[in-house]
Amino acid sequence: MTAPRIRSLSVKGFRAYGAGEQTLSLPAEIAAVWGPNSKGKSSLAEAFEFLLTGSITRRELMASSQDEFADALRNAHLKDGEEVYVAARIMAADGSEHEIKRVLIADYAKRQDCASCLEIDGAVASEGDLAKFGVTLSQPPLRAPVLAQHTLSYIFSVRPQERATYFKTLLELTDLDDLRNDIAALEGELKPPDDPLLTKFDACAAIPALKPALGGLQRSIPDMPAFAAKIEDAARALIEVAGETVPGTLGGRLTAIEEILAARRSKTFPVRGFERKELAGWNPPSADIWRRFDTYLDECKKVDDETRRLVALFGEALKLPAVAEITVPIECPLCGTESALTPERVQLIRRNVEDTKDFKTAEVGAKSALAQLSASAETVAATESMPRYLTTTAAERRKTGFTVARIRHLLGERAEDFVAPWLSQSGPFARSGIAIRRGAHATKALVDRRASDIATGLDPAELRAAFDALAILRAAFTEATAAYQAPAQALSTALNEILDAQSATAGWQDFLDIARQASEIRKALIERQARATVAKELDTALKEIDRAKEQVLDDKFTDYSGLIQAWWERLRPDEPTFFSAVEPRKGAKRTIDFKAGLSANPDRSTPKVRDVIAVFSQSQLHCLGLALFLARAQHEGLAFVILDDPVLSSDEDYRVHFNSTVLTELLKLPMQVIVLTQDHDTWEELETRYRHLGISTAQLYIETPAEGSIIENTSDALLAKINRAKSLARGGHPDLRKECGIQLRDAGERFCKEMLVKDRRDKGDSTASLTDYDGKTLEWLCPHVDPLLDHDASHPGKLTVFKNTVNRACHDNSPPGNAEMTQAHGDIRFLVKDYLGR
Amino acid sequence: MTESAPIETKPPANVERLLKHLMEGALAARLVHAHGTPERAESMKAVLFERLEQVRENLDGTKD
Repeated sequence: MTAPRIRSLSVKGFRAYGAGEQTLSLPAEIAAVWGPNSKGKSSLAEAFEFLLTGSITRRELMASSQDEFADALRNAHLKDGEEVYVAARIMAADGSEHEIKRVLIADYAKRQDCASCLEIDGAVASEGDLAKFGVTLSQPPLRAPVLAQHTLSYIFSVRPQERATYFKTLLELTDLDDLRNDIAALEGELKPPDDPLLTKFDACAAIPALKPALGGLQRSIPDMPAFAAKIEDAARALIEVAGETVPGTLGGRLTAIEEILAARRSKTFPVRGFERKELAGWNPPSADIWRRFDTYLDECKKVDDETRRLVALFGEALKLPAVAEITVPIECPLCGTESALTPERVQLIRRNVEDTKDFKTAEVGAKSALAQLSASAETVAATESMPRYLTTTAAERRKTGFTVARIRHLLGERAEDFVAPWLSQSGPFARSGIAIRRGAHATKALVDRRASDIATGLDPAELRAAFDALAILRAAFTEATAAYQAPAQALSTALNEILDAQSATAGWQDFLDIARQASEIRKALIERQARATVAKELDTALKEIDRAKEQVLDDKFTDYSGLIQAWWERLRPDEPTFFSAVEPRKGAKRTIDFKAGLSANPDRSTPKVRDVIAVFSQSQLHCLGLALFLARAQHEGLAFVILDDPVLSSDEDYRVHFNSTVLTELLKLPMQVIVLTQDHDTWEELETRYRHLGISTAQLYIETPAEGSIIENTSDALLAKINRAKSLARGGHPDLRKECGIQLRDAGERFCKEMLVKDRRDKGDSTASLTDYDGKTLEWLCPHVDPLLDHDASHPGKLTVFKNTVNRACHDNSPPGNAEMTQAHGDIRFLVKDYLGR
Repeated sequence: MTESAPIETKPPANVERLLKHLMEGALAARLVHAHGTPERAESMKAVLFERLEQVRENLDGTKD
């Protein structure tokens, strides 16, 4: 089992159904329910609809009369407080069984929809939860798999533009739209790189002097040597434009351009005053430096002052071989005293030197640390990071023309955009620079003083305090530098642009920048071109997908047309007028046309194509509506369909095809089929034709309006006849009683035949069959059955009276009255129950 | 035409139909395939970046 199946449907208080719950058993793949007109057939179909969707489409489709559906769902005779519901047992695809129930909470009102509550296995659920069991709904308005007369005609009664709704699942390519959008979003990954080098390159390539060399590089990027040669050519072109001698190497050419540029700029303004170096890194003294000072001071305490003072002298003396290696007393080399320096004394000196070894190591470390501190104090100021204009006097600046007034004049209207931010940061930057320089100078002087007399002057706390203060100054300077950089750079760039324009060197600076990074600019050009290439390919891919989407839609319509055609052919084979295609109208994809083929030839050759609405008969339209419904059900893979009088009673011809071919093919899909019919012959035929599949059958009848429609589940043709007669027996019109007589006569004949077959089989004749008595009437049958009616002596008489009554009903112009017909019905019902146990 | 047409099984998904109209191996088809994977965004980017790298290499002359 791969698709869900409805195993039963229970209805209470819904439309024609009364207070007593009625249950339709659906154990088989096919079910046939017979009910005369107005006995609850359509209510049963609508009960399926209501269960699955919470509404009935009849009201939705009859928009003009929606008000008239007020209080339409709740049975009119139901007492207040009685619950109204429709419930079904569903066997899910996995074989598990579940109960789906929808309780009516509020009926339709004049301008208000009904309200209901869906429950699955006793818990409140939504329609979306039905999908868990494989129960899927179609697009509105015909959502439920229920075919009714009003749904058959719907598709042809609406305008072609509105038919799109019926075919929404066909027309919708939402998943492909999403796919296309996801792929289109990849364009964001292929944006041109935002690289300042490329901006500069493009600016250079637009300079007439550089265009011959650089212009082509934007389209075709040669290998690196050829690329570098192009840069060299460009450099040559600039220098030649300036009328200067062209150096042989690229480096030489760039230097020459730089000089020409600086010279030309400086003619207008000393722009080099802005030049500065990046602030080099600086770290405060490490803990190791302070540790070395502490070690030194500790070692000092271990050695007395006299030893410390003389230890250097001792060391030097021991380096003399004449002293270090003596074996007898010799003259002291220091004071000249005879025999004053003995081997014992040299040994003593050696011990003293040995004792001060750690001190000496510590002293070397401390001196090295002081040297490092001195260097650190010297570099912390980083004077080279200050722009030139801040390291010269105001008088010198005025002399070279580096004045704010001059800058403002050059920048013109844009001046304040650049000057004000620059000045606001220049002052703090300058003051911070002065403070760090002064602090650095003082600290270096302190360190150098202490280094010159380490034995007495070393004070680590003093030095540490000085460097802590210096670190604070450095942090402030770093911050001021950072704040200064951006506005100064902006001002400098704006100024250079003006100066370059005035000196006919616009773009030269950009060229210098890119020419020094030839490899990088080539890489950036490759990246830009690669992205542009792939972006174009992506655009092409999207166009291909768009075209393919159109083809998918055409394919789907072709397939769908094929499905409809197949069902049409099953219903109306070989007709010269036939369904041809369903297709979107050219240029209006959401307008759906149905085309018919009209052929004068038996083989349907050279058909004329027309719109079906114009050429199909009502019967053909009805048939096409059924084919459409079945094609849609198949296309959407529906698990079951409920067909309420799918064949017009006047369409005998295609009823045959429906009962045989169409139902057989539906069952093959496989699809569970529930057929509701008012045609008793159809019902009987289905029962016979699909008996091998265990077809479940049921009948609908109404005994009293208050009780409502009754569902009698039975595959018993005998009981069906009796039940049908029951409702006819009370009919006031003679024709109804006549029909009742016919039904009762058929039931009586069937009873007799079954009695005879039963008797023969009880006696061992296993070949006994009802067909053995085909053509036998009550006149022949009753005498043969009488001996078998042995439960009571009155029973043969009952059968005889029954026979006489129904014969009169069938043949007389004035059939017996209601009482007699009711009695005949009661007699045969009694005999069936008593002798056949049914 | 009296013979009934064969019953069609479940119709192919839209994406399967789409792929039939795209050239196999083309960027469009590769992106559609990538879209069908669990990590669709990453898979599609991988296809795109692979193509980008090919073009880069071609332009750089490191690959024919």
